[in-house]
Amino acid sequence: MSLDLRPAIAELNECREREHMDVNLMTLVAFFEDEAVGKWMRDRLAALAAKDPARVIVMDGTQPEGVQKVGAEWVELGLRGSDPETLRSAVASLSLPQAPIVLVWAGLRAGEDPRFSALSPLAQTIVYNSSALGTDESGLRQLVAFERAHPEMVVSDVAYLRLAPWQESVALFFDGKNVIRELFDLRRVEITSGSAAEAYYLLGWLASRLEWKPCARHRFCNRFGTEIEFALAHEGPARRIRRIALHSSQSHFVAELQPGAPGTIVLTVSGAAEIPERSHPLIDAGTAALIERAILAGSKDRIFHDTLAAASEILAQAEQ
Amino acid sequence: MIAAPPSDGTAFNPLRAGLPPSDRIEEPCSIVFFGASGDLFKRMLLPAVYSMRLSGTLPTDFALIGFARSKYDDEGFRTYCREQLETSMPEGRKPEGGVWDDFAKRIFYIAADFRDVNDFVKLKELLARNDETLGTAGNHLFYLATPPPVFPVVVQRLKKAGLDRNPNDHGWTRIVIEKPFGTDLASARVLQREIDKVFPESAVYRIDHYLGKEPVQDIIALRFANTIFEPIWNRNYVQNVQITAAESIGVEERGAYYDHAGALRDMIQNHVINLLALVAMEPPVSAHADAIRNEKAKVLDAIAPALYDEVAEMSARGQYGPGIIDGQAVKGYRQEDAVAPDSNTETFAAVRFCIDNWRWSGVPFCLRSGKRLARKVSEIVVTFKPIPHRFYGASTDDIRSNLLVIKIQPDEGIAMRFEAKVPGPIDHVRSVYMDFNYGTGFGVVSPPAYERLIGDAIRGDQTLFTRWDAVERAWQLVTPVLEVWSSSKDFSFPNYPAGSQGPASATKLFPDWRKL
Repeated sequence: MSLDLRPAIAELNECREREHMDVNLMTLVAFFEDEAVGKWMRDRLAALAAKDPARVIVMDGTQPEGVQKVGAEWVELGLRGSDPETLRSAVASLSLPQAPIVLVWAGLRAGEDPRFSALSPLAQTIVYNSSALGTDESGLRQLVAFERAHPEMVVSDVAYLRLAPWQESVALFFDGKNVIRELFDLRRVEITSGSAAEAYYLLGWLASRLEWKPCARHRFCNRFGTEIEFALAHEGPARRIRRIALHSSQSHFVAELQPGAPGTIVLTVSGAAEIPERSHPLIDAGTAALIERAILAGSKDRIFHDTLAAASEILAQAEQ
Repeated sequence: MIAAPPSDGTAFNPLRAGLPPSDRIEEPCSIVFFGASGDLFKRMLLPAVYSMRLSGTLPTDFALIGFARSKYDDEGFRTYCREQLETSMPEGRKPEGGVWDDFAKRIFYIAADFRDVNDFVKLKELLARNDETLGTAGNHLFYLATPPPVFPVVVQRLKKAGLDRNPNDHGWTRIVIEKPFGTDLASARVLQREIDKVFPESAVYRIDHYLGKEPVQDIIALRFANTIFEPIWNRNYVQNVQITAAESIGVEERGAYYDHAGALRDMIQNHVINLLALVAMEPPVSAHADAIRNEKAKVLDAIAPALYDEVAEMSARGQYGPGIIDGQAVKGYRQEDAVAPDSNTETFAAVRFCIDNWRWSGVPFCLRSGKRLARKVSEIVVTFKPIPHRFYGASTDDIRSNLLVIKIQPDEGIAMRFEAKVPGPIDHVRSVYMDFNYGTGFGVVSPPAYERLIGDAIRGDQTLFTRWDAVERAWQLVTPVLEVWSSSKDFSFPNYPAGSQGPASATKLFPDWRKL
């Protein structure tokens, strides 16, 4: 199939001139094939483009092939059933020549999808969202498969980036020489979240930083052979962590959303390391801001890739 | 290898390594605001600190202590703070919920007499208690938001109470001093001597909120994160540099203060000279605070203070009379509240400096600031030299020099003026602007300067704070002008109507000012 983009390009140029659009930081390309995701995605793209001026190419896998809409720096294409080359050439024709391309992928598959493989080499930044399509771990498994197949590609996962305030809260527990030893004496981890991807990432991050390896179902072993048990509970709104509890032999560290005030994380430490309860705001960045963070981060994030590898090992252990 | 328990008692936290850069300041601390019942605390400092809390930049473990004359207890001061925040914070950021509750329980107050050392001892006890119970770890930031005459008193009492450093030798102690730093060279030196007795320079943060503005910080990025500007940033290509800090408002309720200060003290000596230093300094070897501050000090050292008999030709002063702004009639300076009816204070000041170094020899740097001018605008304009050869024939009269405009307020951004051919069969050339605005370029509103500066003080980053050598040099540069002006009455005052471009003498000093 071929898609005639010449009228769309002419209209984009006309709008650009008419609206005096003279600053553009990137071309944002978004692909989805689920209507609900599409609605959500358009909102996020609009928010992002309002903040970081961009040309937006919406690739809608739910609509028949053709140009659906053209506006000021915004073009929507229907691409249901289109072949990978059509997608690739559409991006090549419609993107701004001097600006980097950011691909936001929310297709039903990633790992083995030839359309993803066709688009990803064009992009300087690839943004994926493991928990966009469901609350189970299948999205994360797709990313693991893609990473294995294309280790040279730089991918950021919004589900991981979303964890930053929780990583910060957990790290905060162990700042200071009086409490750091507790970190190496952890025996149990409990995570409650609305989606699996975020929980696996949080667990994988801890495991990769502390050199824990899965050694049995729901168990890690550290390099001294000490076992650390973990439990994941599925509860609360999708894509959100609700609580993480870390137990050492003498102390208990709990970070959780304040009941009735989901914008606040309450930190409590009891046992030997007890300190007064503290609270701080949960800076819930929102997907648009997380995509922006992925774009700004740019190069490969070693901690993310260590975390993804650890999450992959935990998933593999769970299958056994 | 990362996951080994520390054996040497250090506190390396492997969970911190590689975390995405967090805006949150990790080091806990107590901030003590001297003058906490005053206007600056209420309007700027408290909203800045609470906004930092909301945006997650404030350390999780912190305490805010008010220290002032008004009679509050802790609970009363918490209520006062909440009321102020209710007024000053926008919708959606009002004090409420768990975040406010946690913030409020970290607020304390000492009703004090600044001269009574016993009140400082009470402060010491409170800080020690907070270090234990709130985890503020012996890190103390003293913020002097008092009237300037109280600065040396507070500094001396801090020393007497043993608050100049933590007795247990852990944590840090820093002091933030609001402007004005002295009212002239002599008083600045006296104040500095008092500070020197108590705090090392590395603990002193002289605040100039102008330096916390995003476009001011962007001067460094513009010059040193791009290759295209620095090669032409010198006398070979630059015709002149003008720096403007113009306001359309009058002295408002500040008549009593302003009538003793004037535009030269109020704006040029600090804000405007700081801008000059950033524009003209040599490339620093690193982004480290002292690397930048060394270069700023060096370039100010390269400006020779005027001799007394040179003052008339390198400066211009003005005072506004009645006029019209935005269609409204406004009164003249001498009719303002708390201003002497025969006041000789300048509400407009302009100076022309020459920088005697290899880069800038012969390039005039023209600085102006004033009140009740046509428009509120702060900007730096770099005018480049005209083209060396005009080959366009008849239309060449229209060719103007290239301009680079760094817009500081109210617009924030960078504009470049260059010449372009007008479409058509005849070779006409016309000036066009390439205009970058922070608002549309990044789609974000720049954070208020005080948030940035308070955060930097807690982090221990002195880059945006003025070092004593630069403060002293700035006073040295304006002193001859101040002395000549204060000893000679200007009988032409008022010499510009409110809402105008300023006095004619400013145009005589430098004919190419950009129109306001």
